[in-house]
Amino acid sequence: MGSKRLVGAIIAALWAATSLPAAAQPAPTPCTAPSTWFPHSQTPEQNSAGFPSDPNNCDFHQWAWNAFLWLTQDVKGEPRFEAMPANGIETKAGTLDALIGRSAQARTLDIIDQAGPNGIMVDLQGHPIYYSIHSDSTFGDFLKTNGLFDPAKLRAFDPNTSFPVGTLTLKAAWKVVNPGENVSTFYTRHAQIALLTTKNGKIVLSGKTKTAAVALVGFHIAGTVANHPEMIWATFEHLQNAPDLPKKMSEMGPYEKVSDKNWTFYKAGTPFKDCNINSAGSGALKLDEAAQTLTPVTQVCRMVPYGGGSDNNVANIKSLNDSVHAQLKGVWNNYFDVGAIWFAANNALKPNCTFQPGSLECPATSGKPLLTGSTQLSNTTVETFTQSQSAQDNCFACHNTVQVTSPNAVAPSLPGLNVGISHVLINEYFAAASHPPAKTKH
Amino acid sequence: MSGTVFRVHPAIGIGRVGDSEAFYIAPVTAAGTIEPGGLMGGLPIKPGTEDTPITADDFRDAHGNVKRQAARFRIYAYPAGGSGTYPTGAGTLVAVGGSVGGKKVVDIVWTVHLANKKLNNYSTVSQGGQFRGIGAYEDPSLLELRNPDYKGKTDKNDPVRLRELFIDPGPRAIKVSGGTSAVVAFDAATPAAYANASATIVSVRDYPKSFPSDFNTLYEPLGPLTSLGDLRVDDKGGLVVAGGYARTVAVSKDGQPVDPMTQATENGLWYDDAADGPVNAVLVFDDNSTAAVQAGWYVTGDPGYAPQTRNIISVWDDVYDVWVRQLGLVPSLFVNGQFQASYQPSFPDDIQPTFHACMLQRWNTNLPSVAINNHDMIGAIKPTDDPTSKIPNFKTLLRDPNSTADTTTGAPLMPLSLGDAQKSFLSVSQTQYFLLSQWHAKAYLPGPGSALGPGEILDKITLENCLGGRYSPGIEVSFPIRDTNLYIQDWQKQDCGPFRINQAQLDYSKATADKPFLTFGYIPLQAIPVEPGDISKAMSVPWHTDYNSCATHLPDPNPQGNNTLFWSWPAERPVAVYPVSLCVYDAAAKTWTVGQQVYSVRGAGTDTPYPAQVGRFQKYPDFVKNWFDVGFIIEGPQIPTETGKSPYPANIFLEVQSQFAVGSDFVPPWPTADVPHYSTAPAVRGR
Repeated sequence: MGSKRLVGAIIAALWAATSLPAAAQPAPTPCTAPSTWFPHSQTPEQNSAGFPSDPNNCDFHQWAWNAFLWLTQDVKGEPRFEAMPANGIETKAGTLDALIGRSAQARTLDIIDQAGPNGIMVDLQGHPIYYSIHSDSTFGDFLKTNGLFDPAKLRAFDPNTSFPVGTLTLKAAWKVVNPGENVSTFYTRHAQIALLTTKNGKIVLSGKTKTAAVALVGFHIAGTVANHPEMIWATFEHLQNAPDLPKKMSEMGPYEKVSDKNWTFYKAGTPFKDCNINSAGSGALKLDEAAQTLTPVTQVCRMVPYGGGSDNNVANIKSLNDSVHAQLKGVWNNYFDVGAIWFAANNALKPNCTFQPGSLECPATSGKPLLTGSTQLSNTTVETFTQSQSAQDNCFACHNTVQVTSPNAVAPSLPGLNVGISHVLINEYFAAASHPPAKTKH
Repeated sequence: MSGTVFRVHPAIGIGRVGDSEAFYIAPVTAAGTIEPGGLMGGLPIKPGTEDTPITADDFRDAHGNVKRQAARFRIYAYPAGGSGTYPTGAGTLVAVGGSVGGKKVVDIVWTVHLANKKLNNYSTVSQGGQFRGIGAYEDPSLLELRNPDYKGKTDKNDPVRLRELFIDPGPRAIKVSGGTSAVVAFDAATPAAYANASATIVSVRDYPKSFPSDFNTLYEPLGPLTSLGDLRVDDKGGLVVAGGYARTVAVSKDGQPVDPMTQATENGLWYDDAADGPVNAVLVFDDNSTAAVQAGWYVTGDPGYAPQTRNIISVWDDVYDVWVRQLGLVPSLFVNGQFQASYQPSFPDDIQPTFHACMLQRWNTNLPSVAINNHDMIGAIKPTDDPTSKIPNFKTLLRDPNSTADTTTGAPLMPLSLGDAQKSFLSVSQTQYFLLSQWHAKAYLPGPGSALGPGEILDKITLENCLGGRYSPGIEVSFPIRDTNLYIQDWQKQDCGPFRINQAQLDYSKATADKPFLTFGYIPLQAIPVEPGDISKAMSVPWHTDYNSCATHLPDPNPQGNNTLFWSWPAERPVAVYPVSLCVYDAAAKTWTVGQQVYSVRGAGTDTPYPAQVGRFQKYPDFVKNWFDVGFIIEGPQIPTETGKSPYPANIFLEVQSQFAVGSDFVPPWPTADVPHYSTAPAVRGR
């Protein structure tokens, strides 16, 4: 990364000195993957602490790809993100369980609800997409050091304190592998998956599990780097997940086909109006409990390729993807960086801000949008149903630092905190604060 | 009787259209307040009772027709000179047979004059196709007259326009001594009449009545428009005013309306039978003396499809705000242009109803479960709770009505609804905002505030059950409700109490058959007394199209980059509902669980691939033909259950009495987006 920046600086100096005519301007330096990342077994850890203080767009995407490669690197037979070490934090009633310290392999995949409006994505075979959440020891140690497993201490926590550099929180999306299905291009493993049942008309977890082969289809990486406590929010998908829209969504007619090709989560010829329909949210989703399949299935389309943003942002992502794919071998070469989003200003994370246009944006620079990169970023397998709504069409639309009002009358609401950027923390806070430990009799 | 003054209450009474002769009585409890029996307030009451709330079976008559809502007016006596403060806490019901000041009341003679002046009024849409609300009246050059070239008459005061574009049956009078079975209709056949100062009913034979069929050939999709409603008296001496029959008729040519019904609020020569007008009364005593009564005012609104769902901003909130900030109603709260930091709102009176309103929105909207949980938490806040434990940061939750930036900012700022004219999002009134901020600052009374008298309670409750905040143009009343010119402003001097409409004094003895009696009348921001029809004329032409349209929309103005859809009037125009037939009963646990949501307005003619158009008929005439099929939302205990099953619980509000099939309508939770984008033809809304 450093050598590329040096080259860029030399080019800039030459440009200033010679003032070449426009037709003779050199092409921008392409955003590429350093050869030092390969082979995959030797990919170095992403340099979060050494992240440049005046980064360019490519630097963020390079960090994201570097992190993906490092987190998926084989460690004793499994990807690193599944082998994150236990940190020994004990959980008990009334305290947060931030999903630290348990092997993902042993953990049941029991999340099917997407964040946001009650969505469940159903693959074309009728299985729900399952999710797992992971975090690194920096995250867990920070919570432990600050006593944040105690809901009361989290409520009283310094609102201006952010997660330390190096914090990683991850979310993986898993598809159930069907018998005979060719999953040679996916990372697969076996997992305990939660089984579903219908209770009072609602689809809920039955409490039973079974072992199933699952394939990784989506992967979120959110991590802090130097000067960016808001985290870089990057997301990856399998190449064959879903088609991009052929044109801007505002220009798509309802009956236009999105693709003539079959994709993992899209049937060829499906019209635009049938893309990303939130059947679960409407209560229209039905379960065949014996087969453990759901109807209707979800036809998935990618509403904003690469999460949009500037032309330079999209070009950098494409260039970097191409560069990685040219150098990477093995199953991980079938995944691509959809995009990443971050703040345009350094150290701009503040409490009680939404970072979206409006009165609560808390911009660090007047007149300029705070968000940059892939400003409409979604993962089609993780945020399937909120790709198009401006109210929720990027990571920071939900991951912000405003207060979080309580979902019940028991738990106090959580004030606006910089660490509220993490929904892992927020969700566990309310789980803990809603079930306070029984008072000891004296 | 010099020591006593008499007033009609409520000061403004609300009826609602229906296509049945039958009716129920306007609620005497407010949506958003929980009654002693545990039922949410706001339900209308059964005729012939003082306060028995209706059940699910009472919304329609035996033929399935929608019952009208009648407004019940009563007279209360006050000590003269008691108008110095508000509330007075005073007021004694005046009934025939009762005594006042040593005299026995032997009769009450009521006079009501209803009219519909919609078609010769200014359009809700001003120059440039903009909804400007009262802002358009600040620059009259922006105003556009409805039907500006009707029969070549362009002057709004032209007698042809006043006669033919108004529906004016003239006044009607009824006396209590005539018995409760008498019905006096606002139709062409019933003679115009009024009670004079000596309580004699005087017939006005030459009154220039006008109905649409008098002047034009009509297109009548729901049948002829022949009446604006009727009057009755009750056994307490009260007056019951029931409104129109939800008819709408259009001037036609060759069997078709000359103005196609294509716009949300401005459809040209389409009459409807909404109306309004003064409610006057004269008391008769046993010594043959009489006493005048300070008038009330009657208004016909849309059907009450969700009577228990309180609007976050009710008409009361707007009216109270105007009276507090501009007319000196409560100096301890606001004086010299400032809210008073020493003022302590009452939690049950001033705070909790708004919290309950938040909680209730879910039953008419497609809020996602996360938001439902948050709203329920707000609704469950108790006076003993620490406000900051519930809402740590007031300013990042509630939109500041004084902040332009907040007005253009959607979630997380609340309310999560579309704003008033020229405002993207809805804000509570300034007085509401102050009262809520006082609560958050822990400067509030946990118990009731100053006691209201029984008539004052009716004034407040009636308006609490109406839609405020967003008048584009509204459901019952529109933006003029915030205009001080609408009211008797020297209420203390006149000893009439607050909130009284500044009634034009009409001399019916001068009515002649050859010229219109009513004038163009009240114009917002001008000190012109208010005639019959002057309040309802600010509403949609006809009401049906506006109701159909106002499900969800993009904000107007739409903040840059926004494609998210928001609700217009969710409390009174339900968008997504829980049909009772889809509730699931767990026989073992003896519990009910709500099922799938469907659109309130659904079925053939409502299908669309465009989210911006869901939950409504795609063609306005189809709503006209189907408005009566829309169901009603009511709380569980008021819904009959099958034998052997547990009653529906309180705190769930289900759709009943819909005549649409439940179907398989698909209601995704909010947020939804205008994708695929719905593109309309260039708007031609103003006429």
